[in-house]
Amino acid sequence: MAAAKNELLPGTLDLLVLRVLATGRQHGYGIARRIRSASADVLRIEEGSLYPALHRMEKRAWIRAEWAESETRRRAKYYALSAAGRKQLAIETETWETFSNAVARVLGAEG
Amino acid sequence: MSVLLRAAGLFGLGPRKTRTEIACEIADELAFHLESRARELEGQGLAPEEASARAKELFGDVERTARECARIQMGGRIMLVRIQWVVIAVLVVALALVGWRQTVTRAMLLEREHALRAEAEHDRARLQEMEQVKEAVLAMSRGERLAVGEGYVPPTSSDELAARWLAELVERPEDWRHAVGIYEELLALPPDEALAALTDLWPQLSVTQKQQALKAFAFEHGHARILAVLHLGATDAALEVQAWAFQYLREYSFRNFAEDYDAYLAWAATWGGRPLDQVLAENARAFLQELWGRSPAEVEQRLRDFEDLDFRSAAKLGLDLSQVFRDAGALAMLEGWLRSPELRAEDSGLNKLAFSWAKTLAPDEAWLCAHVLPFLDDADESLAGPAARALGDPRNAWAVPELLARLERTVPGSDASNPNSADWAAASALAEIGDPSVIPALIGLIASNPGYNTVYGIGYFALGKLTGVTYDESHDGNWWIDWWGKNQGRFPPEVRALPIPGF
Repeated sequence: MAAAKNELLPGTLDLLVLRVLATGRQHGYGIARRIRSASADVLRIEEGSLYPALHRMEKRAWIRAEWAESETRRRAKYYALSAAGRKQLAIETETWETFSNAVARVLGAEG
Repeated sequence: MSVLLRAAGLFGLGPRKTRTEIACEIADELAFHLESRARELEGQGLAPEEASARAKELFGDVERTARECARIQMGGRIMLVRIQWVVIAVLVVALALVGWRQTVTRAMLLEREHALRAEAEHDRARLQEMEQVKEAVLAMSRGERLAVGEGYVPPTSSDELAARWLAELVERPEDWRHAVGIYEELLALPPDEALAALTDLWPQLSVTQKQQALKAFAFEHGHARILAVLHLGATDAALEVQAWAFQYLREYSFRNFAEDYDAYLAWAATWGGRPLDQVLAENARAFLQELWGRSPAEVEQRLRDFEDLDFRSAAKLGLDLSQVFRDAGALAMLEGWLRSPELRAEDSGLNKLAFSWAKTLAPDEAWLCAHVLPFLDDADESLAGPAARALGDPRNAWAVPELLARLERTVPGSDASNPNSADWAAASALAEIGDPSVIPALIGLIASNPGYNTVYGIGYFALGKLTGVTYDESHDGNWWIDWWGKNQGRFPPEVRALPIPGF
């Protein structure tokens, strides 16, 4: 059951990353930790899959990247939401809400 | 700003990083993640090695992730590079096309430029020629005469031909054979154009070229503008040219103007523009008229230049000048000469003159039998020979037995080593008559008395002409008998059947 609990629905990773970055700039490890903690450890992603998503969103200019010193004084790559990313976050949030509401309605109607 | 950054990110216009830099950054980023995760796990009580291993486990395939990130980072770059290569290729092709088109266009423009220049040059030359013609016409209207060298190009002759002829003639003034070739081309023009061309070339010609020009026109026999051409020669400054003109003028005037230049000028003024057949006929009559009443000695003196009458021009014009002579009483005059003691006078040319005229005037058989045939057996070779020669004409087939009889009487018993001009003349006359039936008899004559007089005299003058065999001194009677045996098939049956007589 745990495996099933950790799985993300397709397309939700981008939404989660953009949502985390909406609160401020963060490095990859920080993003993964925030998703894990915010979901009460329910949403666990294979951490390696986070980075291709970050790089893809960077190429799409949804997020910006810059190297900076981390809290451990080690050099880390930080990502921040761009204006285009903010718009994309709104679109994906609306899409997700439409989807989850539809699922909820289906579940409510059947219950 | 965000739009610019996004566009820059899309098209890779940000700070350019090398593949190695990108790989290093990815490795650094992933290492930070693993280190941070391991530290977190250590904080949860795992040993450092165990925490590191667990961090890697939670991360997944680090290498694959790194490659995937690098591919994403480089993707835009690769696409950009591909676009750049495509753009460069398109530009190169476009530049090549533009260059090729420019080259082709330049070549076409150069070609057109050359064509226009050539046309302009031709037009300029043509205009110049027209100006020269205009000046020439104006000059002629003032009674002046222009030479080719002064730029006059006769409008009635071919400009290009005249220019080429002039250039070639001026270049090779002593090459008379080359000049003859040009005159042949010139004579192919209509008579008036040929005269105009020659008139304009004339001042530029050398003496030799002028002489050959006169000869070329004269040998045309009956050229409609021959008198005008000969007038060029007769009035030329060079005496050698005048001499040639006077020689050719004899055929038309029956006079030798070398003896009287003023007489020529008067004659030219009278006859210069008259039809040529009229000139010939009337001058022939005047010529005979002038001879009447003269003694044979005076005639012989007067006619030294007219021993051989040349009626070829008249014949070309359809004029039977021998008939004109006969109608004017020439045969009666001739009879007087043949009866004259002067005929037998030593050093007199009357014998040759009389029999030459007898042949040229083409009297009928009766007249020849009455006035020429008696001389055939004359002991004087200087009379028998010319008499025999006077009979040498295809119209005189009736004379064949007479000529053969003459040879049969004289050849067999004669000294064959001693040439006899009368025998040779008789043999020659037989050849001119052209009757092949005499061949066996002539072979018999050689066989009967082989020697220089027969082997050469009959072999060369008669048999050679009748058979086409080239003379050779080895062609004696036996050789000809052998030849006859092998060549009888060439002749008609009545000739083939003839035996070779023995004498």
